[in-house]
Amino acid sequence: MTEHSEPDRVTDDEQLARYIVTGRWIRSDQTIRPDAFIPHPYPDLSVTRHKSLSEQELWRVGKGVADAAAKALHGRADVRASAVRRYTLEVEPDPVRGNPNHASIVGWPVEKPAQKIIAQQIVADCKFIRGLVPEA
Amino acid sequence: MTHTLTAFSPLSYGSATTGGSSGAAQYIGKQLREGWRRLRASNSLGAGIGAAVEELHDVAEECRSGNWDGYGAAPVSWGTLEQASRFLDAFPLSTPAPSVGAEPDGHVTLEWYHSPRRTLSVSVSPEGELHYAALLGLRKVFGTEPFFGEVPQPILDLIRRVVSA
Repeated sequence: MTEHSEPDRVTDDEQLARYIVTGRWIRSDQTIRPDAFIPHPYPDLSVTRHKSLSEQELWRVGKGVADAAAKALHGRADVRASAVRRYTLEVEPDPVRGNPNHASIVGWPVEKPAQKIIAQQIVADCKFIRGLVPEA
Repeated sequence: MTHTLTAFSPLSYGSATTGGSSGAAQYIGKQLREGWRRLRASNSLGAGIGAAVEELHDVAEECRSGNWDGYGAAPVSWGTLEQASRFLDAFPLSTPAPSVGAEPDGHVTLEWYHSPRRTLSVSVSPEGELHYAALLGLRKVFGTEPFFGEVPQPILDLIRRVVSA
């Protein structure tokens, strides 16, 4: 896919990555806190589709996210699109400059407690992949 | 505090204050509060809530500027930190320590965790609202409670249910 082509639909079996640049979102048992999946700025949550990206390319995108915050990249939380859609959310392709695989999880409820309970269920289905911490 | 929990000691305390409103009284009150915090962090009282107070300080440092998550997160404001500090102060001393974090909207979070499907997260907003969500196996509980200086009973009950599993 290029940045100028029509984005294709995200299929249920696609893996989505949410990059983790703060150690506070990683529990001691290497699971992810729901904090990582609270949409802000509301109403969307940014993720990256694995799609055709290699592992190296996936980490390169993650390093870009970390660099934007001047933080180290701790890893990524991977989750299937079907696990997100289970909670009446939708995953929409949302290509951005530098990341044509960018997507947004949309359809979040307005109320914070409802967002939190969904985030808790999503992270229960996430797999945390620890990444290489880039050199300072 | 009037609530009691079978799993916790009823020993608790609120914010240390003095009766006066002068600068001296405020100073003494602040010293008392700091003293309590140091005491709580000491080994003699166990990990408890004191450890969470220390974590809150770390969160304040790490999340004081915007975009601390790389996705445009809001900074954690002093007002939110103050509310979170008051909330922690209100817990019974023997309450199991939560882990402290922050959400992209700038709320401070306290998490009591047993497993991915037995967990409680409480968000503290700058307005003093407590947004909570708990997974208790297949059961889901979530809602909002105001914070008026005492820990709401529904939250204490959920902590007990998560940690006693």
